[in-house]
Amino acid sequence: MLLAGAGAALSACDAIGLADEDSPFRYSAEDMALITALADRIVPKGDSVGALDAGVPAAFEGLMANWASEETRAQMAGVLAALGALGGGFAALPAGEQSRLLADYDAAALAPAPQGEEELFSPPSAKDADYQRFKQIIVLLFYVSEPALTHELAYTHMPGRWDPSIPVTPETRPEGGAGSF
Amino acid sequence: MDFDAIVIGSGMSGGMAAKELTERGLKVLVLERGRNIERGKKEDQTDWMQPWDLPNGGNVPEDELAADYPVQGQCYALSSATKHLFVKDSEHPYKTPEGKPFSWIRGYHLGGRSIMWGRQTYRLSQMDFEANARDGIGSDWPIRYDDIAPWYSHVENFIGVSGSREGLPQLPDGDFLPPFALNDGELAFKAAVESRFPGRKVIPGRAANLSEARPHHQELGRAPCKVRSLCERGCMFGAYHSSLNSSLPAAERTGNLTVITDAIVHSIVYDPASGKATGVQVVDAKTKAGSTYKAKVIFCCASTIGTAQILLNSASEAMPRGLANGSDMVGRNLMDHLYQMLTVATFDNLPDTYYFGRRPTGFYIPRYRNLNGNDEPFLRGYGFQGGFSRKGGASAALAQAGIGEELKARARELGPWTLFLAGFGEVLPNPENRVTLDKSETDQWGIPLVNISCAFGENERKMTETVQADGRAMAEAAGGTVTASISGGSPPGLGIHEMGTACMGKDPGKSVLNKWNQTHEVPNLFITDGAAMASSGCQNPSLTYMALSARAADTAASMLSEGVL
Repeated sequence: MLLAGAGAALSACDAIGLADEDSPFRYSAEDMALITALADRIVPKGDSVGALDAGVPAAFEGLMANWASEETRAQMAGVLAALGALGGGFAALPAGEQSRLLADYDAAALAPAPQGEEELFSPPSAKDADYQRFKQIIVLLFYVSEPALTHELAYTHMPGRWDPSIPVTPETRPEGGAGSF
Repeated sequence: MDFDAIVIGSGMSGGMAAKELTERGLKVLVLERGRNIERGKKEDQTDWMQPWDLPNGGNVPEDELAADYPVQGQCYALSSATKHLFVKDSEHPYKTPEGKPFSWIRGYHLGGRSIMWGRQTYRLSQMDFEANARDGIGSDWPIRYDDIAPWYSHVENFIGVSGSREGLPQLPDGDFLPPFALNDGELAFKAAVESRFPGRKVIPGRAANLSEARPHHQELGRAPCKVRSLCERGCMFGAYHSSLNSSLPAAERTGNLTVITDAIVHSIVYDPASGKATGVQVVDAKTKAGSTYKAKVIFCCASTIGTAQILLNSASEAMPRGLANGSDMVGRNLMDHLYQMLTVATFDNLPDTYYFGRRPTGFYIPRYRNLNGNDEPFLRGYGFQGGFSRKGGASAALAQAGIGEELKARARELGPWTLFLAGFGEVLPNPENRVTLDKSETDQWGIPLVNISCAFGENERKMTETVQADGRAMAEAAGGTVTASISGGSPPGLGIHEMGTACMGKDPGKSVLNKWNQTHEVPNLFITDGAAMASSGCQNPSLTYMALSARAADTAASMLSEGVL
């Protein structure tokens, strides 16, 4: 299982874009431990695949190195600092405690906070927009990955036909694809 | 080397002009200002990429987006997989007046925007060609529907258009391939709309995608659509029409085609003695070296704004206001379509079914306002593009708070049927909406920048209100709950249907082109891109550009053989 998981992680984050060894932006080992714990709590493996199978922590680092502006990096640093302080040191807590604390934090941070006209394809405005964005990145990185699109959702790169009506069965999964951060 | 014809631009219009001219035996030079790209080349077309292959998950780096793509980034099709198909705004500047933005979306490469286009393919109707005359606005089209109908058929047959025959006078049928059928959500919506709103029709979107490949498509290496809906990245199967997939290969096989890329046309050379254009002056995009190419006939298909820029920059002592601009109409009457008028609704009264495949189109609601005269507070009309889908995945996961298994379970669930409805409205020609050359600044190739001054008017404002009210009414009549109604107020240009800057017309004093797309003043100069449009209709315009191009090419070839030019 570990080997399979590591293999999937490599393929997923390699495609998204890893931070280069000599990239000016790299997270510390401590930060990576925190990001790993957070990603695992937000999208756990369960009986299928989760964020760690998809290589989300490394992909998150790669995204910060290759995609994010300084402003976004600072925004994420603020979120990580706040989350890292939960429970007096989030990364070191037992998984169950992490889940409980993060679920409470998540519910409070994502309390609706309407701010005028909403973005059409974005989640509704929340009280803590910085955390909302962090979570959005983690979740999108997972659902754009091969493990998620082949185990949790459905994705056929080459459908080859259009069938306008098919029955829904217990196995039916929504079609996945890329999204915007 | 001299040519029979030079075609400026290799996009939707230039590709078709080149095909038709070469097939009539003319030696044709196509000049493309952008770089060469090749169908099926991995670096040029990225339809091979799985979602997990997309750099940064499909997102353009934020600093790069802000610095290089502030305008292009407004286009829905820009992603990390397509950014190489859009210009960098930082390298290709233009000017707009304070408070009057215009979004000029461009792709400088072989095939131009035909690579990334939305492929919606509709005919204008007799009503559209009569509109300016009826309303006393703009230039009366010098042609009517019957003049162009055979050329619509000609182009449709060549490019391949999927669609259904509906018998609607405001949206004439064509020579269609089988349609991509409506899904169950759309069928229910169709039934509700057509019963509650007599005169409105919900039909399969007509798209230039091969629902089946006929022998003449296969001869060009084109295969049926694989229903991936990755079209803006290019198509290794050649299943949608683009210059790269269809028209340029057709021209190439004649043996009469020469293509030069990285060739930026500076101006068209005019000889006052003969009263004709003799060639074009070109700047090499890379070396910036100048050269001149000569031909008996010139087709300007540089895109609406690019064509105006070239004509205005071709001013001479004989034509000080710009080439073929005695009417002062070059650059004027810039139009687009009203865009980003969106209605989103969810439904809980529809069949619990799904669909398979990513169809490259949706449904279309043809215009239904002002069909029999003007009985609305505005002139002209609008249509809707839309579709029904069932979401889930990341968007469902993020729709509310929650982590862990709860979040994953929500993502796995098939969401409710969701309607996405987008209005496209006709914009009136207005001579004050115009392109001019900047007097103080040139680009890196020494060509004056364009100044684009364009704004929607009162007619468009009134139309937008009705579009949004209609969108809501139709969604609710079908049992939907409207979750978003956005009249985005997007700037002109973002519809990417800019047109009108060298309009056709009967009166040489009020138009630039005659009924053959020939400039009134320079008989061997033809303009067949969007610049030629005298009015915009509300239909996606590319088919009309191509039909005009084919028709004009046929005329030019005949005139040449008869010694008229």
